[in-house]
Amino acid sequence: MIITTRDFGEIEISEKDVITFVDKIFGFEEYTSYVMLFDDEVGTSFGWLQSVDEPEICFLVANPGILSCEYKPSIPQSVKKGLEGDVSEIWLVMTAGGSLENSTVNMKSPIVINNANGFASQIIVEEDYEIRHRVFGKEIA
Amino acid sequence: MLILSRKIGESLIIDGKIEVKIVDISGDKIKLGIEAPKEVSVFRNELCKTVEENKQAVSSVKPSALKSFLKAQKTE
Repeated sequence: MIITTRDFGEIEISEKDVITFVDKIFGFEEYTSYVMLFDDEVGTSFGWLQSVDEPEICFLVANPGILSCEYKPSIPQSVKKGLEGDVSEIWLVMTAGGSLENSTVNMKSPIVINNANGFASQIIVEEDYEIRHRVFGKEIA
Repeated sequence: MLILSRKIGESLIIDGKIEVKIVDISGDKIKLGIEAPKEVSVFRNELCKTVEENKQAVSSVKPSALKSFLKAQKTE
């Protein structure tokens, strides 16, 4: 099917590309179907989690691998149950704020995905990770 | 912020209709019981902050903008 996206124009996707949020993205409860979009030149460190139903709902997400610190959030059994399996991918919602230099990622509430069935959740982890963790270097005054 | 001490089993009444009770204390975790009318929503602080953060996160970042930025980062 063809969907309209906010940052990638109109694109063709198939059912198997669709990620279904079994537990909603907080604040965006009505939107449960998304696709992950990547830009070839940007690579796979950053993706765009695009709502299938609403073009304007699109989250820039970052792979925790880009962080200089370790990221080992514990995933509760209840979450694995909801996803009907193990978490195969973790993405962090990125907020660009005023400018990309000051971008932060939400390490406290990651997006977890089970690629086997496309089920996903946004969870709030027990660990004391920051909701706003700077991605790029020092604060620019 | 109003700060009060309560023992297990004791409670607070907010606005005459919301009751917050200390149900249990175990290590550094406190179990709270909340009785409130249906129209009153009760959320963990982190959840509210996440909603706020998510709402800010939906502003557009075009691939081209991110691309240029990352390239500039690499050359620094």
